[in-house]
Amino acid sequence: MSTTNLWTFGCSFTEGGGLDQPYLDRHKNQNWYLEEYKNTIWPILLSKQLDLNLHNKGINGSSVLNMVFNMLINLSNIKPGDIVIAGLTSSHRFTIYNNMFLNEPYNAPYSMNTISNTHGVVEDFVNGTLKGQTTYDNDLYWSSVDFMNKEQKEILSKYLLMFNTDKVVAEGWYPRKEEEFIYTQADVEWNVAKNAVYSMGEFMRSVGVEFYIWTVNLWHRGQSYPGAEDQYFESIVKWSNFTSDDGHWSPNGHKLASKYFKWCIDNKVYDMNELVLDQWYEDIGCNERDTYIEYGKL
Amino acid sequence: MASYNSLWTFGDSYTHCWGLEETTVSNMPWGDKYKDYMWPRLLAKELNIELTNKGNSGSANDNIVHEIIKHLTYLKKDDLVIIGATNAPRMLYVHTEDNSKYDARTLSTFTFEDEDGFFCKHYSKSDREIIHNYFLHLYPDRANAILNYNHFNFRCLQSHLNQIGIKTLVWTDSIWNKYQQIDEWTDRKHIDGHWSPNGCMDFTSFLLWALDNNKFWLTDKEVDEAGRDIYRREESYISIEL
Repeated sequence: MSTTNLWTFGCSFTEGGGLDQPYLDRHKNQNWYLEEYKNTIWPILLSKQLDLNLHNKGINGSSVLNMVFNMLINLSNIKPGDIVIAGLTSSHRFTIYNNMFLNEPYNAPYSMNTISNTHGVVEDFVNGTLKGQTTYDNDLYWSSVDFMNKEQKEILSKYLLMFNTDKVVAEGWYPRKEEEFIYTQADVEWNVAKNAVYSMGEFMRSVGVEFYIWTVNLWHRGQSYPGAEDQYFESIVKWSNFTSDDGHWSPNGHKLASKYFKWCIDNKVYDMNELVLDQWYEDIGCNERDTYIEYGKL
Repeated sequence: MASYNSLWTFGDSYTHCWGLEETTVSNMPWGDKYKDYMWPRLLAKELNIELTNKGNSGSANDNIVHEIIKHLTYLKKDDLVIIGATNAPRMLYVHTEDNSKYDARTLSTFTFEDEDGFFCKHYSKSDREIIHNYFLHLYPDRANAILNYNHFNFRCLQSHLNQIGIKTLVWTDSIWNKYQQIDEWTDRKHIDGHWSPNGCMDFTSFLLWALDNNKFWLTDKEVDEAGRDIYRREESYISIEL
């Protein structure tokens, strides 16, 4: 057994979203899911390829700030010779501390969580508001957030709308152009946390740890147009032939992603960004011919 | 007393030494006349080592954590690090004044009161009300939960730095009112809770005691434990001169 370790930090794309805890498909069933899919995610595949002990610290729904805290918690256990891979997630995530609303003990740092606009939090609020609804108990997401009372939900909704990237959602569901960039609380938090990750990387490299970073830009890289789902790393949407709405990577996507990360590690490409991926895919990735894992099969 | 290579101080205005600081942002009538009594300077002088003071007035604990992370690479074995944890009701908020999306300011109860400040100038009344509601009615009730996470972060950093030979002390805001403040020093002519030169001297003595006694996490309890004998003699009292 190897004495060195692979540490993976990030969000659901690192934890194994969709393959560790399957979402319901459009027919509201999970009969496609096999327990073995848990072992098809890139951190596991990569640790096998590199013969390293894996510590997968990815957390579904994590913000970049969550990830920084998670790195701090594990800092003392990361040793020279280890490899760390940090996946910077979307900025559309609002960090909450579960014990802000629950009476959990403070020493439960893993209970830190995020509210993500992609989960429909503010979308519901916006749509509700547009329809003249004011009862937050009616909307799907808020009614499931049972750790906040109605007044708290209302205050938080308004704050999220005004102060976070969700503002952009409210302004029409279109991607921002650089020149009309709106500086929001979410942007600030993301950038502060991103800088912290880069500083942490610099520090770890100075003590002999290999530190690699990749970002949200890799998730759906290579799509011909939004929603086409023909990206480099296959999504569950495409894998299921649009039976599922889950945009996380399929076992095939994870397999190719693990190869990309392995190539970056072999070549000491610490910033595993989308431009490097484009080049790698053109030169190498597109020629990979692995056995294809069919949806619902192994 | 062990010897150290260099002193690094991180924290908020109590580390920046608001009221005595050389940058005189506090705009006190005595200017920077008492800058040599800033406790980081006193401690560095006492230990005869170089000082890098990274205290920033108004910092939230998140700012302080990030400031430490930013400087991790520069910290070396046998350096001494002193982290001042600030109080709970502060949070980062967006700073768009110079379109710098990498910057964040701190929102505190003071910010709402400062009509000429950045916050009031740059947000509409309705937006301020929303932030006000969130910050004053939702955030503070839960601020201790966040404070505990912040303290946990400091403990993680402290543990790691100590492990790699960088002695790290953390002190908390419970110590703020343990030492003479500018209010008392100026006979309440200047209402300000930051430390006077006498307060800074006493705190320096306390830190030296903590180093001697291997105390790593410092609160008002440790101040009480240290007792009164560790402090300066009456004849060294600094009276205010304008």
